[in-house]
Amino acid sequence: MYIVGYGCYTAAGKGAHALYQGLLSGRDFCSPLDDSLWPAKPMTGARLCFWPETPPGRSQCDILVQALLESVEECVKKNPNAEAILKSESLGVIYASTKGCIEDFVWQPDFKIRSDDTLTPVLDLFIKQSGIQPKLKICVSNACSSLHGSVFLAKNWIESGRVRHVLIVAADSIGPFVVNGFSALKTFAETRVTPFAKDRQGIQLGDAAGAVLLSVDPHGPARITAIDIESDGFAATRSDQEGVSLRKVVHAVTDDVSRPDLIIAHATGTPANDCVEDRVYGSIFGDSVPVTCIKWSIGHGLGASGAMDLIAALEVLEHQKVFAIENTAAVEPGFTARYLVKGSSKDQGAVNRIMTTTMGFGGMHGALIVQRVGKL
Amino acid sequence: MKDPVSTNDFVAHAAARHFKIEVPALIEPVWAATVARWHQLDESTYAVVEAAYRFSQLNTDEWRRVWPKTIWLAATGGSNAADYDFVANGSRSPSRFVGTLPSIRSSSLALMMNWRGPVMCLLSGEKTLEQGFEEMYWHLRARKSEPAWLVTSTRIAKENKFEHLVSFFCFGSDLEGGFIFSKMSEQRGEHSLNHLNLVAHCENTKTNQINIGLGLTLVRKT
Repeated sequence: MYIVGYGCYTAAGKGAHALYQGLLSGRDFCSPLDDSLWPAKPMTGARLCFWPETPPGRSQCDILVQALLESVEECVKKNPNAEAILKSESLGVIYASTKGCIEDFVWQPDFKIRSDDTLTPVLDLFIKQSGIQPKLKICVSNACSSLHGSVFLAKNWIESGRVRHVLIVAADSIGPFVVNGFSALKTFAETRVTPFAKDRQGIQLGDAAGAVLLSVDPHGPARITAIDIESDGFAATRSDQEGVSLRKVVHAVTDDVSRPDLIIAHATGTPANDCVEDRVYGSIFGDSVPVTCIKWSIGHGLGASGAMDLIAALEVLEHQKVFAIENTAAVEPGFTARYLVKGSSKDQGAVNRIMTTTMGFGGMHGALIVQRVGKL
Repeated sequence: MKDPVSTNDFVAHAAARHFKIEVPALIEPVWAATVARWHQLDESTYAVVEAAYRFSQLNTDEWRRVWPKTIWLAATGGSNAADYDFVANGSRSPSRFVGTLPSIRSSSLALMMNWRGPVMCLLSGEKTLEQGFEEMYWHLRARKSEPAWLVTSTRIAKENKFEHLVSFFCFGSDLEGGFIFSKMSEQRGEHSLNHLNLVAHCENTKTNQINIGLGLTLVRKT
């Protein structure tokens, strides 16, 4: 599957390049919570990574759709072929998210148990406003592994010949529902997020939206060469310490030939998550493959986070400079993988193949390989 | 009735098992030792796990034969009951929050079954179930009928209580009383599949052919 185009909107600003420049420059976009526009007051003073511009008085559904439309517009600007593909009759659309427009419903005074889900309204409004007429459409909610689940499904769609192109749109925005939830779980970092550091405390959340346009036609600068997903039942909120499922998906997408030049790890910055990732990458690759990540900068975009990792990977493949984990000065003693911490060189040699990984609640795991094939 | 074998180049065996699970649980389930903090599960997750346990106890040989490689969750309504429960109880409970992920029920299901493998959680408004069947059709076709489950549950008011109707559609499994799953038409149509009606048709042995919508059909094996 070729990646024909991509675009995103994060706390770093509009566009994949804003995300990439933010990461390269070591910016942490986290800021104190401003809940003045929220429908309910959260029970925490969490630091979060917000989109720089959020129009007031709009529903969460509208805001998510606007962010997705801008991401798709960026796809078209990047690649003239994308516009024709988006008009194709052989197009499928997948919306990847954890909670969709949940905040639009749960704080209403007459809130009751609904019969409809909270993702489909976002997908339907996006399709209506974008003017595209997809042959297939569906929402995937595989927790924080939703992007990898969506790529798994897109591969099924394309390989079966049902469609030739798939647009994956991914978006989650942060509101009191999810902030209260993660606050209850006590997973927020009180200060900066420092993945793989000994003193790491936990996560910060971030608004995130992105679009990735996939095609069987070789019109893009990169392609996804391998994807695997696996779920286990070890625990609802963490993987088993040996990382059996993560190891399985990493093995499935890599071998001696397709060994990655770089890993963009899930790296939430929680003590448990980062231990498991180190155990898996360290034991498989030793210190031969550098590991970096993005959540320390733009926050955890939940169901959209995997898309942000993939888009950051595409920018690295194009520009050949690797961002480090600038919030982390030193890695926890005993960790064996090779992390690009504060001050690491941005030149890591030729980077032609990148692995991105996810570890979601409910034991959801995913890994994919994205490979450079040329310039747009 | 058309012969599905002669009209298609692909058919799959299917078995369907349905369970009604009353919520909330009033007594400790048999599988309590397997799923830690079972009493904190959201009602949908509890119902799916309890239904799977009852399924496993029906017939050990059958349970072994339907063992899936992949599980697809048709999450009609997402996690709406858990969303409501989290907010109505003050938005402070970590376990209630965990239940608000539509995919979370697969975690406890996998734990109870001691299973691991790919899980896909799909949502598509009122068309979630029929699209789940459609994805299953193409998945089976690509993987030569490798065993897979489509799991769905519906919350039903019953007097002053609620129960969940949980269905396991087990594909690639040639069982007594099963179905043949095939694509009879390329017409997608505007059909919307109702879980309760589907189960009623499955359980009525006089119904020989069940239209799933999207051109898909379950034909009862004789």
